[in-house]
Amino acid sequence: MQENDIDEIFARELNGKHTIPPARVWDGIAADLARQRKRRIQARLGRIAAAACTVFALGLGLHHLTGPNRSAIEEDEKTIAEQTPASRPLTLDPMQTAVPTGHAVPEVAARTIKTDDLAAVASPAKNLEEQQIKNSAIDPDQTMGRTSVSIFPEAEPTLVFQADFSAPDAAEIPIQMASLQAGAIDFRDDIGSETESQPKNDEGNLIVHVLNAISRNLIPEGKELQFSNDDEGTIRIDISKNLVRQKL
Amino acid sequence: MEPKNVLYIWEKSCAGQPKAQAELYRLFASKMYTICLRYAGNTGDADDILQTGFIRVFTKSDRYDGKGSLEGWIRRIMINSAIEHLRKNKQIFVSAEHLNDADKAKLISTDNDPTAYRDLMTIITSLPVGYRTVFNLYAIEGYTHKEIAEMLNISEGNSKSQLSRARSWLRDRLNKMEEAESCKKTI
Repeated sequence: MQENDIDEIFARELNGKHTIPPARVWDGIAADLARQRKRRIQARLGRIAAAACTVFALGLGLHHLTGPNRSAIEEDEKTIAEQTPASRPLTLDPMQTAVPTGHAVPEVAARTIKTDDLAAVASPAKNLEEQQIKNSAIDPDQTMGRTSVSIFPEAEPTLVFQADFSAPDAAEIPIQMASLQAGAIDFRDDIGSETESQPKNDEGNLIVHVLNAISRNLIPEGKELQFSNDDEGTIRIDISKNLVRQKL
Repeated sequence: MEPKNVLYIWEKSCAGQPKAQAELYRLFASKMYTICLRYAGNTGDADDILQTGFIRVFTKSDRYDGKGSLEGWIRRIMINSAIEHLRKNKQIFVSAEHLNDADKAKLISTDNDPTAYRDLMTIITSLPVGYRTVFNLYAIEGYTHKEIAEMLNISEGNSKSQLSRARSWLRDRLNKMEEAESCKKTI
């Protein structure tokens, strides 16, 4: 038998022949293809989610860059960063709070407010200069001892504190109501009349509430600018390095 | 070229339609399974090769340019899958000298399967893997030694040597079968 004969015999007899494979082979193929199909769908959904997140982040960034209060916010943040003494925390205690000279309450109401000014308004003590108390009391709405404090005078919203100034010599003047005037954010649910002006409240005092709410709602990086107070009523401002680097 | 209905099924299969994929499998599976058996030598490995091969056919369908025969393309995928499977399992190119006694016994065992096809399949699957692969590629698929050397990553000389030994094994086995047949007739 020649070698080529062997090749020919096998090629002729084996080429093109059929053998039915067991059914489990197709079951395995179908299961594998189904798994791959599922993975492809998951990957596609993942890409869509990632694209949505990107669009959302871009939208936030755009809003942050072109938002109506950017200039006011940036100016205010810069002022806070510049005027906050590093070794001396802001506090509701006027003895410990750095109240810039000449920043009487009515003046405060007419200009961009600083955190330390706000503390003075919320908790003026009897050893504050009489002029400041009087200035508060001679607000146009004297019966309610109403005083207006503009957080961002150039733009909405405007925050209004309504305080009782009937006892100007008291250590603390309780704030009875605070609301946003013509603003989109309503804080009234968050600040009860019993706690809103108490500097030692565990939940944070009114000023902290308001500042954090404004920070959260008006500054896209709200978490990077946090206000809090401790048991002593000391206001702490946490500004992330990232935000400072961006703004200054 | 494939009939129009086969190409229609192929297009639907490429689009990922499970029914078309099942139909394509039904059309080609039995032919391809024979090829897998020839290379694998046992049904377990042949099953694995067929499964791997068809998954490749379905997932790499964009690689078929439509110029050649679809069956030929699927066949090449099966052969490549078989070679890869044998290589992965380190079965390839074990020389006959290294066969153990059980393997040798298998080679000389008689098979009473009546059909020529089954006899030849039994003989070819009893070949050592290296011989079987080269013989399949050269004698049945029609590849040249150069192509076989590239596919198996061996030298052309090695391919020729394996083919020669394979032929020798097959000739012996066929002679034994003929002798057994003539003995039966004499009795």
